Amino acid sequence: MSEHYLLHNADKPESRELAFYLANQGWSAWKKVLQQGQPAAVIEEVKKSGLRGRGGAGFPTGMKWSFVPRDSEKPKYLVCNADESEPGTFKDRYLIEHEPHMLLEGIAIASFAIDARRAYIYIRGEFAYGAHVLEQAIAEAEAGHLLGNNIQGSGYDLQVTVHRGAGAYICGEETGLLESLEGKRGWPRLKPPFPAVVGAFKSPTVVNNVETLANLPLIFNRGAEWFAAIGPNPKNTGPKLYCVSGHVNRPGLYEFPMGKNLKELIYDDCGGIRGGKKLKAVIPGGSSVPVLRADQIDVSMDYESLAAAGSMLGSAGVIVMDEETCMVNALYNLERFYAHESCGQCTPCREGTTWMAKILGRLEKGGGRPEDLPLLEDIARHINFRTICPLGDAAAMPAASFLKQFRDEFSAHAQLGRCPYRH
Amino acid sequence: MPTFTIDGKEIEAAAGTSILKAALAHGIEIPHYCYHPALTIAGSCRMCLVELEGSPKLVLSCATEIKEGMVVLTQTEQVKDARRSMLEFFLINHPLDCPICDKAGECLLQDYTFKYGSSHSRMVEDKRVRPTKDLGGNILLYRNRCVLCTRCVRFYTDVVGEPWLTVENRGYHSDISIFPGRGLTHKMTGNIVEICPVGCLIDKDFLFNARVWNLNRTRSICSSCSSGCNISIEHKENAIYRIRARENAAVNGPWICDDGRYSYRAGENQVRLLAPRDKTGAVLSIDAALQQLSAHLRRLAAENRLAEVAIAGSAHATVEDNYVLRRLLGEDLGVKTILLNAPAPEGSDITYKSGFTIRADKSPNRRGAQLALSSSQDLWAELQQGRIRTLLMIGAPYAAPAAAQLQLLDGLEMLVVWSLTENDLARQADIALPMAGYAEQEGTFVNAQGRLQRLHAALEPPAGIRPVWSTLGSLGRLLGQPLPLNSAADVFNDLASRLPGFAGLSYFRIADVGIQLS
Repeated sequence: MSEHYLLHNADKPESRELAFYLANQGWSAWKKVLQQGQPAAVIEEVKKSGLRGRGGAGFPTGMKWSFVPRDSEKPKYLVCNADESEPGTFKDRYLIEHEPHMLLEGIAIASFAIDARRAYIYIRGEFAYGAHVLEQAIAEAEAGHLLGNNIQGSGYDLQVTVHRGAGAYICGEETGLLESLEGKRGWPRLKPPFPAVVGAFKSPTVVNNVETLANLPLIFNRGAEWFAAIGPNPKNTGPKLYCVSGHVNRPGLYEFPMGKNLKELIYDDCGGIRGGKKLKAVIPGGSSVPVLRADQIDVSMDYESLAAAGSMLGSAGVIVMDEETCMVNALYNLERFYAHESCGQCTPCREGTTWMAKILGRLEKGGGRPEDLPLLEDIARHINFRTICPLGDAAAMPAASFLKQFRDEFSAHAQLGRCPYRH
Repeated sequence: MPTFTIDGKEIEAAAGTSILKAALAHGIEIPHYCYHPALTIAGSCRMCLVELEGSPKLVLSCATEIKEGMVVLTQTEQVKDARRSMLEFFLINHPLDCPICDKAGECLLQDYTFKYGSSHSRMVEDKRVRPTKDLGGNILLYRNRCVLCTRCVRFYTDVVGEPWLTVENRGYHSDISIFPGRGLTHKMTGNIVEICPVGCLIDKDFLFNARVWNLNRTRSICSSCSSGCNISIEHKENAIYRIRARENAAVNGPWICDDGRYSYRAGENQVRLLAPRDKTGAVLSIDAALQQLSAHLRRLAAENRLAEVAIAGSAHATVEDNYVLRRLLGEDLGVKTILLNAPAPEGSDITYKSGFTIRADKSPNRRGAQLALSSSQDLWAELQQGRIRTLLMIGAPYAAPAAAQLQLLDGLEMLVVWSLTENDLARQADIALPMAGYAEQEGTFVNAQGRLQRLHAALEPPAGIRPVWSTLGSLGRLLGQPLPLNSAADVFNDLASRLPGFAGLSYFRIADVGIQLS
């Protein structure tokens, strides 16, 4: 069992309190950063650590910060994306509810790095408890002069505001999030311009995921070298949370270094497939990434290795499916989700996701035709890379990969005219 | 200016221009729905995707600025595939109701499907069916036909500056909607029907009235206010079916207001004056009427009483009508009192976010009439002096003057009125003369900004009815003052040679967008 840096307080309900956090060297990284007073050095340190965005895309965090124009006369904003809604993903929720001060400390460091005086935490609407925990932690931190005006006598001000979403998955997409934050309909924006230049309220903005920000205190407490040494290679560094759900004996949230072996995670740490059944498929990075067959899971869970295996690390939401899972039904379930969550702004996603869901429903419930397979592939291909935001890709990639990896099952549905798993 | 290549053709365009705009300006068609030159970029229809050398994905031509050396391809298999697939997405839920859709014939979904789409559907699922919604005012929302381009939504935010429409619901259920408790009564509303690329927004005024390919289109100028918006009068069988905006960047951009759009119905509840009449209501022949008038004028001239005579042009009549009135009766006969019949402005100008203005001055040709008459002396103020005994005036098309004004005409020895309709003014006239309407004649207007613009005759006037200047020509012959003016062009060219405000101009050289008078 490896060392825990993010989950180490999982059994301590008091971990969300300021006193506990302070007693365990909490907020010391922030004080150090503030004392040194050099935003550029903070960005350099994060670049050196190799930290990559934990929201799914894996963009290098330090580099993202460096895109913020320093000479802009507009205010700069740091936005914490806490709209965790990806099916199979439940890591940010833990950090929000158990380590709010770790997150706030990370927010303070990131805000300082980009010279933001206001930070927003855009939190998923359903996370009512998490929002409450954050509000309390912010009040504690302000009372402790760790946030607010003239923090620790440094002259630096930082207001942190919790903004609750209204329950749309699309508001987890960073520009949809910014629109929603501004009080508008959560319709993703055309890019460029990117948020670093034109973000919240037309001002330079960095949007970072909860887990990304929660890693920052570690980097500044222990050093970028220490952080970079964790993980399989310099491109994949630091501790990582893995969310395992589905047909395993011990589903749950796990922490390992970046690059955990997927097969070990499922069979050793999660106790293998429940009921002693055989594994059929794994979605390794949240519902949006391509599915892997059982024979493809001996793979390091880092960005490049999973890409080489034909999938993505995404949010590290590992969804495990055993041999009795109907893959048509599983895809039907996923596509209904994307059809429901499509914002409707652009054509391929609005029309294509629902069309795919309808076809899959027909395949699953009866009435499938052999020509539905190439049709589904066509629709997925016609959505992929042609939409405003990645939701279209997120709906298209599973469809394409399910059809490729489990074509026999789809064919069987089409041939039989019903689902062979239903008796 | 950056130079870039599109389909092998080198194009130069101003920095900041989008690929789509530059392509369209050079006659290269890139299909699009959500893009509209007067609206902000939405980038949502995804129809204008093109290949850009060096880009892994297709790029949005409406939202990608040209750069020096860029290589754009619009005819590759990948681009064609994207267009075909986008059209398939638009059509899976679109009803096949073109035969009863008013947009048919000018529908971008039809046009692009014909050019770039597929002729068969792969959709076997049930279509999304949603009832048609009445948005209030003149607008019906045929929701099944919507492609959610949001042009209508953006029209209100970008052009009008007030959000009247929005999108409600999400994803597959997204729907154009009006805010609760409101009807779409805004004066600029008719424009959304024009910019809707499909048959989703339909004008009740035009509903099931005509197939657009059977309509003739005549370029003209709106007569509803002094803005002088450029319009297209669409007509068949000598009746107007609708009026649409005609783009003129110097005047109205691509828009017109609903006052102008539905102005062709203004005469609906009025009776047209179809023949000359005397005060008893007896119908006269035009010859008899003009002979009576000419005899009266000759007698006054012989008795040296021309000082009792006044002529009043109209801010609603063309430059040509006003000019001939002054030329014949003022210059040639010697009437000195030259007046202008123009209604007072109503309220104040309304200017929208885009700068489009509905003017308080509801007369389309006040400035033109003033120039042609070389007078702006007000008819009604002058009548109050009580010096006028004989008056020849051109009436406004529909509204008769107020009762108090009509009273001023009571004691006249002779009142001659050119009138479009049988109104109280015409009834009071000793001789009422019919005249052609603005859609029935050639001629010119000068708008509030001093822009001279041409009218074109869309309709044939009823039998025997002529423009005022033409009736005056006949009167001239009876008065022994023949004018060699046989057409509006003759009249205009004559006035251009005699009036300094129009010096150097020629009727047939007045461009489609008009000429700014100095």
